[in-house]
Amino acid sequence: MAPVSKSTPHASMLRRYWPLAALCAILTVLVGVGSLIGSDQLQVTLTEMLIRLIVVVGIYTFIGNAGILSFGHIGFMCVGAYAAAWATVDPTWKQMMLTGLPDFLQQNQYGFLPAVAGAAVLAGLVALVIGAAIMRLSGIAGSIATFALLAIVNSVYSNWESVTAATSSIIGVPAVVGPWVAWMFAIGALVLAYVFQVSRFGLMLRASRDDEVAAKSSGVNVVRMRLIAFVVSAMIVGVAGALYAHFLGILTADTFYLSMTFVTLAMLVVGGVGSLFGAVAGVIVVTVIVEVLRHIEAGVPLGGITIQIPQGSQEIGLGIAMALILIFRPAGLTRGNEIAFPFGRAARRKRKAAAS
Amino acid sequence: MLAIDDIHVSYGRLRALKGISLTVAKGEIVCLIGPNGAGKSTTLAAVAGGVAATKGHIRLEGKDLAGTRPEAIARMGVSLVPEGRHVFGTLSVAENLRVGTYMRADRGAVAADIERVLAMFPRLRERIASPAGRLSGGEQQMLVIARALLTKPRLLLVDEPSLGLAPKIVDQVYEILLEARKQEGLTLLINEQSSHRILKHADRIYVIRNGHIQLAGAAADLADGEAIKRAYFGFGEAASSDANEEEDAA
Repeated sequence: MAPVSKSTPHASMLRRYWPLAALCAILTVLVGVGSLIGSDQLQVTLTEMLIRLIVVVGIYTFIGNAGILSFGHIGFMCVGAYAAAWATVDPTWKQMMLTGLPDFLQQNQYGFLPAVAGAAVLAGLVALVIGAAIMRLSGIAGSIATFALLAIVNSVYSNWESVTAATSSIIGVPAVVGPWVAWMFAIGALVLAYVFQVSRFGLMLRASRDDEVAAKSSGVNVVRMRLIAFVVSAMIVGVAGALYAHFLGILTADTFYLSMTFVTLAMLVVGGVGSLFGAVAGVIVVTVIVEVLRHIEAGVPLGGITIQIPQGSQEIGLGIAMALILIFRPAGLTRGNEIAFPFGRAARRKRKAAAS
Repeated sequence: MLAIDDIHVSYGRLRALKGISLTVAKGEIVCLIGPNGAGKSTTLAAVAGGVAATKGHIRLEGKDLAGTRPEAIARMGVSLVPEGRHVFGTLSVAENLRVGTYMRADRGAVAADIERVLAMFPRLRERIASPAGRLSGGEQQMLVIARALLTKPRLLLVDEPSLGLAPKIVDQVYEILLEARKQEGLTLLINEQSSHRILKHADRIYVIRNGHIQLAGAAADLADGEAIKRAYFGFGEAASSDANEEEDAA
């Protein structure tokens, strides 16, 4: 804020974007270390985590800023995944199976990047049309409407035989997404989410989240701000869907339904809905918990004996972890804070106070 | 500047305003006083577009506001300071102030205006980086008024600025409102429950009770407070509201 800070423009820029830079650095180190030491299994886990991170960052862009819980964003993941698969699958297969596709998709095969762009655009368009209606609803009514959206997308995609192959899967999606590709898009998602959050649109939206009446009397068009956030977040989630399709290599509509919705929302709640740091922290923590439990489920040899917990402990363990976090930190692990700037005057004062 | 003509507002079956008419001229300080539930807040909310009148007209400089959305009315230069210190709790003081400036066309003047508002409210400058939710009640009231001033309103609607504040803070709030009027040529429409403080500052006064205007007059003529007291409590006339309605109809 110009009239307040007395530091140079470069320093205040650094301070403003510090939380973003720190998150990108954490992610880069994580992927770097993972791919250095990594087994194949670790590569897969890492890629899946990064894709989920993009989903959660996308969902956060709406929920965190607008303050309206959305159950529908995995629907945009579905839209994005199919849109990208329509573009990259072998045309001979498409002509045989997906007879309802428009010619430009059916006859041609596009590259990975155009397919991802297409996924973002289609998810954004769907969000624009649907959002124009449901962004007028506040609170729980809006949340239920987003849930209806998820159900509608799922039933359309699991029944539209000639376009989505319905219950038989779309196969032969080129599996080109590994940890570094996912990392690249994750960084992109973080940058987009953070820039939106600190922009005037993000600020007006967060103002309306805190107090709708006061926001309106400050001239904020609350519905329009929500709609902008909804479209941006749907585009991010749509891109994640495209990546997921090109990670799995095979697509069914039920991949993008309740369990994916549950896992991603759990991640966001565990980390804290109020900050981008919360979104990232939640994804990492939940992934670690799930992976550790899965290893023990498979059996861990420990000095002669094998420690093993029964099948299904994974879900129970995750449930318990969530309950504990919600009891002791209802606002999530990060309590809605971003990563603090460590070099400022306030930080120095804090350190001095701790030392004395 | 503002002309309210016989508006009626209902919340479900509850009739909150039963024909309120009042005017505010440019540069005036007009005060609505009346007990709890009289319809003061509803009157301001109706002007700001928060509730719709079922009957009657609200005109701002001749333009009928019926059907105009709250944010559009705000952009026409009407700013509401709602009752109960509506700050954006998780945003910092600086961010709260910035939100107030986003609808303005004159971006260049914003930085200087923020500086000027902070000079009026030195306390806010000290708390500039704190989340607004952590401010004291008085500080929050000042922040809400500062944010409203930054929208560059021509008409500022203030709903019970003294509610729940220490008398000393209330005096400060009024000083600032008067100062803002002097500096920016602001027009003020203020709600209050008590009359003695407002008599010093207001140009004209309306007493509202039970959804009706009971008394209207220049503050100077009402200075002894007796007429206000009678209208406020309904003494000295047929006290039932039915009788009042007949009076209004006449």
